[in-house]
Amino acid sequence: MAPLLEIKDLHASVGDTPILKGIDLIINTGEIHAIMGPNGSGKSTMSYVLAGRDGYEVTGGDILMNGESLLEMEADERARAGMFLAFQYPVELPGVGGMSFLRAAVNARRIDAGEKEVDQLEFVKMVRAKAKHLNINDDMLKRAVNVGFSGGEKKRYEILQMALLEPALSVLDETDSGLDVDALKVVSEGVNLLRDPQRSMLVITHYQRLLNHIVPDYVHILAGGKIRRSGGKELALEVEESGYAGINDAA
Amino acid sequence: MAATQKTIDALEEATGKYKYGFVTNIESDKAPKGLSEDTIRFISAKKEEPQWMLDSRLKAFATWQKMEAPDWAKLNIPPIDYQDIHYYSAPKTGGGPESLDEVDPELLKTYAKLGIPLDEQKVLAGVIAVDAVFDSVSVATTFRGELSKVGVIFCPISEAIREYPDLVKKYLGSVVPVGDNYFSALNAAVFTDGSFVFIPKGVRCPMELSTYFRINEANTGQFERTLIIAEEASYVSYLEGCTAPQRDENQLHAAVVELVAFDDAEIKYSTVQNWYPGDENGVGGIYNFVTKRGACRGDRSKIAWTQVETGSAITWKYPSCILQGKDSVGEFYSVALTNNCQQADTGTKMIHIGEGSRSTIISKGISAGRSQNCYRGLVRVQPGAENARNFTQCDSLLVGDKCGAHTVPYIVSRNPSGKVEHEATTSRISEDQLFYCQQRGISTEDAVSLIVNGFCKEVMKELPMEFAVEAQKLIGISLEGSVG
Amino acid sequence: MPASMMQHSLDGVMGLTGVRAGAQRRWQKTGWPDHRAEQWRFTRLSGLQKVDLRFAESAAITAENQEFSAAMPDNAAFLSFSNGVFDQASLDNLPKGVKASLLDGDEATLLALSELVPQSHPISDLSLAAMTSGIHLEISGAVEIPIVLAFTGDDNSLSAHPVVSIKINDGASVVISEWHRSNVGLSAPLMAIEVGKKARLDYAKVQQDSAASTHLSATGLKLGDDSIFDGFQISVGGKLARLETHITLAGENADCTLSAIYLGRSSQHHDITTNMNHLKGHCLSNQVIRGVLDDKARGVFQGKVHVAPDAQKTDGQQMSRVLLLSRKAEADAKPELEIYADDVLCAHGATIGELDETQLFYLASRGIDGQTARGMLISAFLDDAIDSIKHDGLSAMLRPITTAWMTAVDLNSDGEL
Repeated sequence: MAPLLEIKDLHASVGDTPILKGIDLIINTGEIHAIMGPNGSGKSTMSYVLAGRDGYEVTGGDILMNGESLLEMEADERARAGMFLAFQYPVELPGVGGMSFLRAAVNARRIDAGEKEVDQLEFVKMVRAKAKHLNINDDMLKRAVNVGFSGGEKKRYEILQMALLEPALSVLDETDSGLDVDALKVVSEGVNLLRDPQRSMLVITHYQRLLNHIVPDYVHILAGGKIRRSGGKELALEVEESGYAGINDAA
Repeated sequence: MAATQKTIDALEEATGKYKYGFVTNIESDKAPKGLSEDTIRFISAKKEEPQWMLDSRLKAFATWQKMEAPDWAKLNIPPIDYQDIHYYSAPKTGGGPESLDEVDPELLKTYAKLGIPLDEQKVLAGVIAVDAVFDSVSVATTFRGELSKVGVIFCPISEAIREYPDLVKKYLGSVVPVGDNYFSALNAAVFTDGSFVFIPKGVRCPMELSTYFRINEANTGQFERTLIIAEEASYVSYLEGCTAPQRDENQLHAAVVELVAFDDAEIKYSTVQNWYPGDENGVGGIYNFVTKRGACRGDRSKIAWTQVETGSAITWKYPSCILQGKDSVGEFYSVALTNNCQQADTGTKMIHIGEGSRSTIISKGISAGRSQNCYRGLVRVQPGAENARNFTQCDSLLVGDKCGAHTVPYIVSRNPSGKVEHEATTSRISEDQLFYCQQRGISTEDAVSLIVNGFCKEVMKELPMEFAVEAQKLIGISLEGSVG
Repeated sequence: MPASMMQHSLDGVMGLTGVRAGAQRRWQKTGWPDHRAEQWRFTRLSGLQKVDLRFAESAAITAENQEFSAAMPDNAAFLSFSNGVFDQASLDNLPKGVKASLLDGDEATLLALSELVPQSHPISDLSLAAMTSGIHLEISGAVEIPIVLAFTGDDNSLSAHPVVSIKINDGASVVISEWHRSNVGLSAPLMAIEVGKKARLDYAKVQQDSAASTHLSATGLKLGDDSIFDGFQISVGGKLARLETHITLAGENADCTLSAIYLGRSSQHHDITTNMNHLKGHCLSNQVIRGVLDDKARGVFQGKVHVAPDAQKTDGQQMSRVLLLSRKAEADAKPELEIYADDVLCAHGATIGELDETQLFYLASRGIDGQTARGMLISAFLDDAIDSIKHDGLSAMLRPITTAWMTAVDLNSDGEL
């Protein structure tokens, strides 16, 4: 059986600047991988390339999900195929009501899968149940998407979407950035609730502290557009102690 | 909204892009092309009008002949041949129908396609009374019996001219005088039908009143005239929807709407305008030149205009409020969406005369394709308008880089205690927003519709629920093909 | 010369050739705008058509003129116009980096000027044709000494048509102020300024003409790549004044500010009209217009921000705020956006009203009497504007004007004006 995600010698550029210079990575169903790296190592680029953002051009290699290449798929097609990106900076959509946005997303996926669209009442119940674990109240659900949310609220809202969309693979891009310890705990608990043998995650972070809460199976160190080292969760602690210095040369 | 969905499905099957572009095959009775005193006599005779009405029409015609078409709007209007238009077209069914049974079944089918709940049985739950205007005449007014029990008059204006001449004489042309502008003068000369509403003192109209306008015949102008009078402490909500079949020739629409509100009365007037906009190359489409004005004559009276304008090749329209009464309130909520080669120049005038009068203007313009979209508005605070307040917010959204968005507000303040505030912004849908929606599995087209509807939300929430759902869908449909 | 030259006839100006002859023909054809001209809907010139004015032919050095010079900053270099006629003696003290020449017969410069000034504007044609004096300045390098263009006049039966062309070469920088304190019947200066690549102009215009004068000016500016223009106008004098400025952002990354104050009392009429034309992308334009109107004065602001299809990443901001101090005063505003590019950030705002009740109450609650409180708030409103001027010398020069105007405001009225 093909792995859930297979990245093969992936090269990608933004404009004329090559950022990813040959990434190889395999994520099997149920695994949690962490990618750590210094600023400018290509972490965020990697999340955008996986999600299929315009302007992030794949110049070589391939990304396979369940054995099929994602490269020809638009961002929304990838999302409906089970790829979820929790944004480092969630985007505000003024005037767009949270509930109608969430329902549009859930229904887009259901229609693709040939399932029945969820009706309004049932949906409200569904959202409320999931929102409770994340400390998201009705008032927040009624507001426009991400408008006027604090940093912590935005991140919790991302995790709520992850819970609703039940993706096969979640990419968490610097989910810990801008969160204090308490907020980090709420968000991590939300993520941990979604841990499941059927789901995989790719946690992208600069700091080890997030990995104390979301404990990964594997850790990879990304620097200069390449994975320089891979190992178990203890690798994260090693980086915490000795920093990223020298890793560039360690390849 | 099962009816709406059915309509959309049926139309998608039947037509191309413009979902309301079907033609009803019924024989019609129409005046020969051209405009002269004879045309006017013909219309007046068809309507069995009293002499005073004919005299007033002829006077208006004389006024119109001396006037020139306005050219100050940011519109490129090809010359209009006023002699190449039919000024009267009526379905051939004999006299005006007394009940739905008398209405031509073909017509009923047309309205069913449009999603108008004409069939009373089906709409009992919806509590909407409808006056449907087909080309030049009112074909059916529903719920009249029920309304008359509370003293509300809701009928075609041609009937009101015969049945309630005193009311019509008193108010017709009292808010929009004949010579107000070129198109209002033309309308006063040749108007063929429209709605008349009278809400007596203290009555809260028990249901939404609605008119549906449809231009069916080729080369037909539609010149409807609507007059709504709300006596002291009364309330009425009036809805107006417009469509026209898809044709290559440009069809002319020049309506006049007059509202009068007395002490403590409130009139809410909502429009969804979806006339045929022309094709993607700008061929065909309706020219929509409309004069809408409300007079808040009474103290604490209120007039609120809400419009969603997605149709017409050219829109020239400025629903306005004359705030005469003390503490009177004027509101204008507008969404104007243009795509392909459409042009819109629309906005409002708020004339503050009364002490403590207040006005709010919320305008959302969306330009896509190669269209040009202009907000034009006037806020005037007269010397006597002590403590008048105005707040204006005009936002423009550009979709694509071939279109234009313009904002031209005129502000005149002649009272120091008056306070006028105007804000305007122009922006576009950001790549970030589109990507965020896409990442959640929402297609680009749906994402644009979602974001544009979000942009319009402040206006949409002013529409009655029934209309809001339809309007939201219209926005989605109208934007089709605007993002590559 | 015929007596009727303020009418359409400019026949008295004989023997014009080239660009000036073209301007003369256009003027004779169109003349003063009438009530149908949209651009002049708030400012009517019908009164002007009735007066007969003569064009001045020689300068008159008056006592008023000398007194005026004394009021100026003393480190500045003066270029003086009197009754619209240039005083050649003032060329003696030109600072380093400034070259001056006369426009008479300089067809190439006149042509460039005619393309830069506001098009279809009566003053652009009339003053070019009737030019009482014209000079051209070319600026190179960093000019240390501020230049003051001083316009005076003593004869109310005259009309003055000074024409000034300024070219600021690439990389140059200069501080220029234009100061009008004239008693001519019509003061109609025509200015064209070109700011080169990476050049900088700090600019202030003061309109302090006499109470009987009409001031109608037309100014055209063109900004090159990476240039900076920090401009400020103050209109306080005259019976009727319109300061019209058209700016073309013709290069990328230009940074443009054009703010203004108008102060009106008795039956004065002030009009600030601007046209900000973004032709190229990545430019910034910012305008803050403030007005204070007392008695029966009327103030007008018309401002258009135009963004051309290719001018992506434009940031265009415009704000107009007016304080009405009297029941008879009137303020009109027409801020306009005309946008053809989609990736832009444009906004405008306008407010008209009296002093803020809450602020007045707050001051009262701290024991400050009404008169003082009103004075404080109006001063603060004006100081805010002056503080935004980046060049200290210019703000120091302008501040006394608003302060002097304030001393004559009757602050006793408490809203029952």
